[in-house]
Amino acid sequence: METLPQELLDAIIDRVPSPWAHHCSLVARRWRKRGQQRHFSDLMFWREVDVVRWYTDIPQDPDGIPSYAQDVEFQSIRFWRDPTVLSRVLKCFSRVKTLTIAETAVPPSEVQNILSSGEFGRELTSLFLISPWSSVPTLMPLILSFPNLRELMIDHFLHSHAPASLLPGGTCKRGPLQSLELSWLLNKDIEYIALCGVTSRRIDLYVGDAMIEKIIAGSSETMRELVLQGT
Amino acid sequence: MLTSPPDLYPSRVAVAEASPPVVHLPPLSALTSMEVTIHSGSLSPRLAEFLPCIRSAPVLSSITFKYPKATPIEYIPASRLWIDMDKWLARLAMHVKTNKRLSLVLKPWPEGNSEWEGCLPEFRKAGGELSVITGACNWSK
Repeated sequence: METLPQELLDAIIDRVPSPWAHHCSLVARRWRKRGQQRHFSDLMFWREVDVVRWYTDIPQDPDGIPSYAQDVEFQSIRFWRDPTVLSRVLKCFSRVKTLTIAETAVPPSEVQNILSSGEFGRELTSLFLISPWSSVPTLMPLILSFPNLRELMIDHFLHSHAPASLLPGGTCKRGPLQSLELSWLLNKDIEYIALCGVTSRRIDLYVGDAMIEKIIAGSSETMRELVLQGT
Repeated sequence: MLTSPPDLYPSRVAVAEASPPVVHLPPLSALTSMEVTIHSGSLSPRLAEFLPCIRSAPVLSSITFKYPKATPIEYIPASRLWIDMDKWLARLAMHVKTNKRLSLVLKPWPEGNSEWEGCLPEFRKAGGELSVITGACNWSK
């Protein structure tokens, strides 16, 4: 075992079935890093207390364990007792590729802190906002800031506070997304997203009452694929 | 045999005929494929109203109508809805600027059988190709 090259050890650890993968890091020192990388690659937080525990129990080193997280999901955390927890935790997820915010609030006061954290979002390619407990204008600076975002899904804003004036909080300097999926949004939210210059090569829309034309018109020169669903 | 089918959307069509689509989308210059999912046997008024807003898609090569086998698309040739659809498809087919012909694909899920010959005459005259992927449509002729 001691003579096996590290690449081979890593390949063995990668093939251990998921339910037992977390034991790998305890086998030997040379197994630790890969075992931890597997164990912490997908994280889901259901309660604020779990987020706090992660923050206090795991050393928040941007090059350490938090950097192993690639797919992070916050689920059903509608209110934060300590609104700063989210930004403090996100700050150390330097390599996350997929972020899902489902029925979870992003405290408006923390958006700037998340953005100023530097490392977070640099490698993010997929963002799924599923019934987020925040408004479009609150989340838009985040959407616009991720430099490598390729896939954006926004499904059903429960807390849609469309801005009184439709002046966007910023404009998209990034190129078109690979995929944009919108469903169950209000007219003003869709208009706001379009005004912020979010464009895509593939657009998937639920045809309700909303002004989908705005989004399609915005991507008229880049959109190669259009998927429409409607009842 | 159905010789004089009812018009499914008389009031909507009357409005549509009286005024052109309100929204004018710019030419969709990069669009190569479109997929429209139809859940309830026919295009919803909203979809039927929206699709003609797409007036130009010069490199479009395929449009897929996807629908559940349990509620197949009901094609009634004399209905205003399908006459309008036919004209819209024909306009797109005529303005395709590539060598490929515009293809309309009818795709039920799960698969089944269908009759479809003779459907959408204007679209076919305009050079459009119609293909059914082992469809399950209730095509009334």
